[in-house]
Amino acid sequence: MRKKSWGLLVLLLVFSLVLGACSGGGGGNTATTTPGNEEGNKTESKGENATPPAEAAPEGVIEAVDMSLNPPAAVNRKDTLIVGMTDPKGVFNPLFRETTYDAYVCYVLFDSFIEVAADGTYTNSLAEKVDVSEDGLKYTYHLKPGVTFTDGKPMTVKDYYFTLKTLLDASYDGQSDPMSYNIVGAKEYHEGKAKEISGVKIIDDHTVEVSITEFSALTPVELGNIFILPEHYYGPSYKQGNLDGVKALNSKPLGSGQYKLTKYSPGQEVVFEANENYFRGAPKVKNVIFKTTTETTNLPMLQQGETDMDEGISVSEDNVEALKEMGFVDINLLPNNGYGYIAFNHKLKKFQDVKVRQALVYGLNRKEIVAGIYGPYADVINIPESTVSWAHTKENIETYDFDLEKAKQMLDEAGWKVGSSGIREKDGEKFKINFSATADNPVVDALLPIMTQNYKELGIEVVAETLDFNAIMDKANTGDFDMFFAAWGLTPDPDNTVYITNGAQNDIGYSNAKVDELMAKGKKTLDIEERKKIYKEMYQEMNKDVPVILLYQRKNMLAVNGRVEGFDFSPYKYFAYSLYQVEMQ
Amino acid sequence: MKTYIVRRLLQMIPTLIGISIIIYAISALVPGDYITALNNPNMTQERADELRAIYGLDQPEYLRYFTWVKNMMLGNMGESFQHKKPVMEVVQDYVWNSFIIAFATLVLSWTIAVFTGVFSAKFQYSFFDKVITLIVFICMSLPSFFIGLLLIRIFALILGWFPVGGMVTAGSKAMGWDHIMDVLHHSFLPILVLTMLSTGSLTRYFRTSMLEVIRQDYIRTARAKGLKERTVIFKHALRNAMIPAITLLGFELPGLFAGAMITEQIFVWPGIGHIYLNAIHMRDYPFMLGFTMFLSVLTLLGNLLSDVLYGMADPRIRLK
Repeated sequence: MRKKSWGLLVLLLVFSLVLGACSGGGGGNTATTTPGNEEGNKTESKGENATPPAEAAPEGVIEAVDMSLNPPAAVNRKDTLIVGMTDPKGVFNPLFRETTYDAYVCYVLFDSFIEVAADGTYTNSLAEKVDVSEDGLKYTYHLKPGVTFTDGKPMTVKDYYFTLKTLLDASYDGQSDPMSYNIVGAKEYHEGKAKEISGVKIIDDHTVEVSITEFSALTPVELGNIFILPEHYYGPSYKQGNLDGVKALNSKPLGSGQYKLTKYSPGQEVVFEANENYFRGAPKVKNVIFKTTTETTNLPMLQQGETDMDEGISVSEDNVEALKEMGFVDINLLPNNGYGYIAFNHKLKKFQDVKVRQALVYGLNRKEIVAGIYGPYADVINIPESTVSWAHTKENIETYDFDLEKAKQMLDEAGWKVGSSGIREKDGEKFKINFSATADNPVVDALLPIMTQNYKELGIEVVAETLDFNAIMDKANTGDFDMFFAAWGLTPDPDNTVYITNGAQNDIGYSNAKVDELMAKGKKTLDIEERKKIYKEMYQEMNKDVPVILLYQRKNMLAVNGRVEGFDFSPYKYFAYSLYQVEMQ
Repeated sequence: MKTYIVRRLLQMIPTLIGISIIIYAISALVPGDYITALNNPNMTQERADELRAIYGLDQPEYLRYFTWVKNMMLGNMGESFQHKKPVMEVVQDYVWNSFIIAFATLVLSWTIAVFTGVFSAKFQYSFFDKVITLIVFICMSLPSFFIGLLLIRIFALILGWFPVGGMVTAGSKAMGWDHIMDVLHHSFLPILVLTMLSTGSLTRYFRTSMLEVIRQDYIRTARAKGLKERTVIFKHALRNAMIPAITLLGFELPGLFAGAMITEQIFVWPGIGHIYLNAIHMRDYPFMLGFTMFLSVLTLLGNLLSDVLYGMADPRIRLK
């Protein structure tokens, strides 16, 4: 196996050399963002129709101190707000967009029946009201009257129905999984056996009824948070089974949103103009531009007033200090919807003993690792849930503070005795961990030396092998690994398939009957207070059972020029949703 | 000459087939595909299988190769997974931006290199030669991201002469001359960095080749004839010294379109470099393979071009 992976590594190297030779500029590839990590693909298709969370979001805002330092370039730009961010890919269709940055563009251009609120719950947006039948299998949406698309044509529920059709089409290759919504007649339409979706009934232009075969806690969001495409614009180029015509319009989108797109220059900027007829009132800022910035330019551009805010400045002590020095910037620190963890391969015998797993957490100085990477801007976590989620709990949660003696004792109890070579052994097997390390990952760079040192003291040998991200994901899928570091993104709803037996995303082979049962129960319960209890019990169980070594939840930062006011954002509600409320001085 | 070109073009066909097999095989051996690269926490196995089927990733490798080749021959490079539009459209979106700075760099670095190379050779071991050598080596050895950031700090932040990055002023509606001036203003720093990096090796190359020529008998003869030194150097010596440089020029052709990954990234220049790199990270096979093939064709054409130019420039080489 080792030989094979070396072969792959060599091939990768050859490939990157070939490419490096073509690059002209020469050199490696340090300056790009790695996709596939927690930042690249935030998905927010799931959510929760519920009451506000028990604890308020611990948001840190560092206010601007001296607006007289504001650069003239920003002050003189009266009617245009410039937002700096990583460049979108140009997939400006809410059904097809994959990156977060394309999603931001879509939030500005399109609307849905219900929309996420700052606390992670959902409120009515285009819908005047939503009726749910008593058995939970019928959803009736009442569209607000007088909503128009930006070309002046009125919106009706037929447009919603059209959007559902494109989602359920056999050729749909976006990130949503509409077949899991369990809409009546979806399968027939998907397979091309029916021309219409039998479970959708259009009562009049403003009322539509959707029937489903099975409900879950996610259903309200799955059905209601679909961004509505105008049928008169996208419809003519759609034929059942072929979405190419719809996709061809990706760079020329038309919706009902706060702004309309006037210009898109790939890699440079997306230019918007206010939609004066927006159903929630005309936006206060006339023009908005999403300008491409990178890690090397986002701070200088903000400082020069070339941008008014930036979405992607990484949270480090240096960057926060630099922003504070500018004086005219409001720094918003928001907990990131995701967490970093170290996975065990539960198929290997050595990791099947819960004592060993607990010992590996006790024996790892997580605090030092996390502080080394993010300074004060990340917290060590002990359950796989965001601290701002309603499902988060601190009750009866073991914090696994660093304790080498305890770890040693637990390993002794588990039967792993220190052998003659100083390495622990059990049944003739030496305790050795092959760590698959991601190349160019700052977390792994900080983690490995500490882990190797800590575990050496425990009598465990750590051997690291450096691979690219996809290679590690491939190893995870095939089960060919001991340990690796990765990060998960979190949805507003706690339901996921990461820790359930044979779950789609459970590539670590974890299995715990109690977790399975509670996760299934939580998905089928609609009452939020009931769900809180269920997830509390589940997280307590996971906390004891240690499916992975949980590392940290870090913070994101939105740096906004002090002249911009009125944003309503949170870890769940991205800034793009509230652009229409924003004012500039 | 015509038959030579036709023959060479025909020879390109088996070469291209070989190239296509190699790059396809390498990409097929690399672990992971677009679906794993997405790393979507909510994707079920059924949905992943369905997506693989839509993208054709469920087919055996050899079948996928033939489908790809067949489509390429019909002029269809496929659709980029990430951008959800045809590969050539994505290339069109970005490649000309890369071309602008690459072409400007080419012209500048060659001009500078010819002059400095010639003068260093003419006054070998002089003070001028030593200073030039020093500067050239400094420029060659500085990493691009370092000079890039340094220049941003000095010229954009402290002096405020040039913008930090981008290609045009945000929201600019300028047309014609104003637009060209805006692009020039933005492109100054990236072009400067790229020129600094590439002039070095070229200067050394021209210097060596000039030194060889300058010692030959016919140069002495030319001088003995009483020709002006300028004529001797620039007309008689330089022409011969430049012949090996034609080979270099041929190799520059793909470089014009390949994009400079690091420099473009630092100055947020909307070039194709980081799009290409991203495609590799995300296993966006159609784009990755399509663009690599595009660069391969350019490399082969560049080779052909330099061979043909060789024949025209040097009568001693006869092409058959």
